[in-house]
Amino acid sequence: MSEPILSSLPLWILLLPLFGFLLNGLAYPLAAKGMGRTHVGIAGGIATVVMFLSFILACMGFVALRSSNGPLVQPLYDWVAISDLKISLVLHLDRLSSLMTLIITGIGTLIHLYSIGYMSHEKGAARFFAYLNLFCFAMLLLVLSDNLLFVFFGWEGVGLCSYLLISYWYSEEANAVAARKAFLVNRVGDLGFVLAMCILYLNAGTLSFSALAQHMAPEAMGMLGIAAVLLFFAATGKSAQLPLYVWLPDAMAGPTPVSALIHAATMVTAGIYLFARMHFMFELFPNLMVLVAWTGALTALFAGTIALVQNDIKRVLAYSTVSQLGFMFLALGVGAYQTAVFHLMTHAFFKALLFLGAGSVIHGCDGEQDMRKMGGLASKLPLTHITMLAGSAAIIGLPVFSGFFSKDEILYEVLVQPRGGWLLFACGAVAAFLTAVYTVRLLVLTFWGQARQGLGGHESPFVMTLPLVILAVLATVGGFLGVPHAWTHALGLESMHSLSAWLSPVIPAAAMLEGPLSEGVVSFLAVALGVAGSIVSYLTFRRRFDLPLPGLRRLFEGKFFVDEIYGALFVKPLYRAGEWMARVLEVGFVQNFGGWLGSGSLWSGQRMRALQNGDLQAFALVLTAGLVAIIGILLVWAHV
Amino acid sequence: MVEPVLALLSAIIVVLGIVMTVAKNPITSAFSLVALMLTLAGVYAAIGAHFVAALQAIVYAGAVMVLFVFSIMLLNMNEEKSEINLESWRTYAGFWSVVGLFLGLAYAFFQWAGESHGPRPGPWSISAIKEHGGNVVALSGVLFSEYYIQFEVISLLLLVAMAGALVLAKRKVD
Amino acid sequence: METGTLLHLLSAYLFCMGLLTLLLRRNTIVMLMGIELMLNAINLSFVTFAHELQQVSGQLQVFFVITIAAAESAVGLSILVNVYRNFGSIKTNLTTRMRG
Repeated sequence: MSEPILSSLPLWILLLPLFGFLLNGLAYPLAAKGMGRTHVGIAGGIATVVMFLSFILACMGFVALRSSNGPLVQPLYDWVAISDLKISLVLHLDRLSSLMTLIITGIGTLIHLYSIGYMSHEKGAARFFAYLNLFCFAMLLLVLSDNLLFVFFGWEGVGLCSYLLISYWYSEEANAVAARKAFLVNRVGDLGFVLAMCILYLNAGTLSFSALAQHMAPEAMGMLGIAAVLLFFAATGKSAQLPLYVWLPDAMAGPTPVSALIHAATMVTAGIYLFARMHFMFELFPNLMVLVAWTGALTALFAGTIALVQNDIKRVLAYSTVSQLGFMFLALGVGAYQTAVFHLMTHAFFKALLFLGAGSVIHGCDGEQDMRKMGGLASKLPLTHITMLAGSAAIIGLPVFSGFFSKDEILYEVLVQPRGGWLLFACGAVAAFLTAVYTVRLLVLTFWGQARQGLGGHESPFVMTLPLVILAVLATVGGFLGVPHAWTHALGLESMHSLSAWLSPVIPAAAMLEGPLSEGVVSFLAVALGVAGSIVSYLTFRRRFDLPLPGLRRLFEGKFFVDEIYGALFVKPLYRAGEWMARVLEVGFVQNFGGWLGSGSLWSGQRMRALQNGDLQAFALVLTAGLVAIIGILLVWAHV
Repeated sequence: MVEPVLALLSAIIVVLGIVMTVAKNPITSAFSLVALMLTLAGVYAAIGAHFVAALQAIVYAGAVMVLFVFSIMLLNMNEEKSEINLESWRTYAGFWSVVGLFLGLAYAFFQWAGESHGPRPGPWSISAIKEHGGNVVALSGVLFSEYYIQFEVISLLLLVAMAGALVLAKRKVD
Repeated sequence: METGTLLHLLSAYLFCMGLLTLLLRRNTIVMLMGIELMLNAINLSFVTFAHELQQVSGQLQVFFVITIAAAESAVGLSILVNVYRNFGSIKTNLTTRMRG
């Protein structure tokens, strides 16, 4: 480890979005005399500029970290200091945080810019941009603080902003319901986070990451194991894994830029980030890691199948996100933390791109989201079409596109790492195949073929296409940050896996092992699967919308009936309990409670009045009796 | 050992105390109190506190109690049925509280008698007082040196009390 | 039994009788007498302590107490005379005009 460097950079990176939030949430509406009169251009301009400044600072932090691998720290203040309990807010920008910060501020800037175009018909958009800025602040707090407690603040903050933004159009009941569902499901996971924090504090006496890393004592393994499971549970909540993934598809009710920023690029990766941060703890529990890997693999598979039958363009992408997050957990589970972070980054590029492209399509079709009514949009939205092609190629994993590198690396690591194996590899491979199928289905239904309903079709304005182009470039070339070692080795060059080199001081690289297949073979296999999936998909969905296998289709369309199972297991009983409380507790107790208070006061007052009767001798009697009682107590005290 | 005269005086005081408390007629109470105070003056004299004994006899038994008796006569009180209501729980509560208090006090005094006394005996033993020229000389010496401020304050208090009593008792001039 | 102990017990007894009078009697004059009795008990206690510890300060306190008791009974009795004039009685259970 290297010495920390004092720097105020992290503070300013963090404060700028907060400043933007205050401007858009408070100052601007006040100046404009009402939220409803705020202008989208001004509000969006403010929000974009603060994010861009924050991005520049993040770049400066990145440059500063290139020359030294010590983290930039900024101790802010001791929030709690009670003898043993000491919780300080210390901002901590190390190489992992720096990567996350660049993603958040960089993609955040692009999405803010895009939102100016997307929300242009909106009245009172300052509220939207204020929420977006607040979200960025919370997310930055999450990745910048070196203390679990403040990570938790950020964790809750992004949850809150997610809730606010999903229900941005709160007058539609469906949006409010979706937001509530997201919030409640996240709470279930957060409970795990809080309990894990308590256990960690009891065991290590601290919540700061660096100190925790030194307190991983083997004698406390039992309790630590519980903490690790709880923390993993929290991560599944935030990162939409089995069993808590159900909120993410519904979260698509929010505006599309929100889906791109929060529900694809940043917030849902918080679980991955936390896991990578706490890898030293999870490392101690191989069985848990196997569970993590299987959770990821099954989620990837599961969500991939559901994505096959969705007709809402955003829902396809939502299930795709769940599936890709599953890939990341698969990588984490086998111990390839760097690979998970690599896929996190490329996924942030191409999934943000796909969402923004979908937003552009929706914008061009005047709010229509059903792919069955689209078709043949390629000629009407040429720029959107080309950028979407780049994003799709990346997610399918065609060579040279970014997803190719990261996904291959995951599959390869799954195969060679001791906790991986053929079964997990097979799950991953099938999920990769499914990815190609649903992605190409999306393209076929949306852009290619015949225009079915003569839906609108106008290309989006410049502020929306510019982020698309930038993201398309990133999604195309971003993968070269992680060129496989096998390639460079074969070409006789030095290692070009720059992401691995960058992250190694913070997260250890997975051990280089020889597997049953070489990395080249795995790459070839993955590409072959992707191409095969694409061709199958094109041939299938050229003429029809839905899956030609009715049995499976019904299962997938019902989303494996998970929502129904949860409804029967949790929601219904809770409603029942609520009704019972309304009937019995509310009517029998709460409603009468005020009356009881009143009559109780009257009753006791009438009794107590006898004590205040103004009779001197009664007072003297009480005085004497009290004196005797005190003497008696003192005597007993002295002799016992 | 207790001198027999002290034991006798104490017995008289105990009896007079009961009479004062339970007598139906206020006059009986008042006169038993006068007698009690005179007996108490005897006790003071018996343990060598001659000045206090004289004060007790003159001020209490003479002045204060005459005032009491005079007030009773003035207010024209007759004998009445016993005031102590033997049916009220308050009577018993009061009685047992006071018994408890007495037991507590008695316990404290026995403890005190059993201990070696904290403050060491001072210089004024009976023989020292005699050498000094008697109780009154000894007291006045201390009173007018150490306690002269308190003495002056007390005289002011008496003046105020006298004025207050006059104002209160005066009939309103119509 | 020591002289001091006897006199202390006597003082405790007198204090308790005074308190009992104060608690149980309804006649205000008798209650005042009870207070006088309690003051006397204190005086006795003072004198006994002075005797035991060979001090004269205790006897001087008695001097002050007696003076204050005289002042107190003078004022108290004149209040009583006024009460009697206004209520026609000095029983505490009958003079209830200021009771809440």
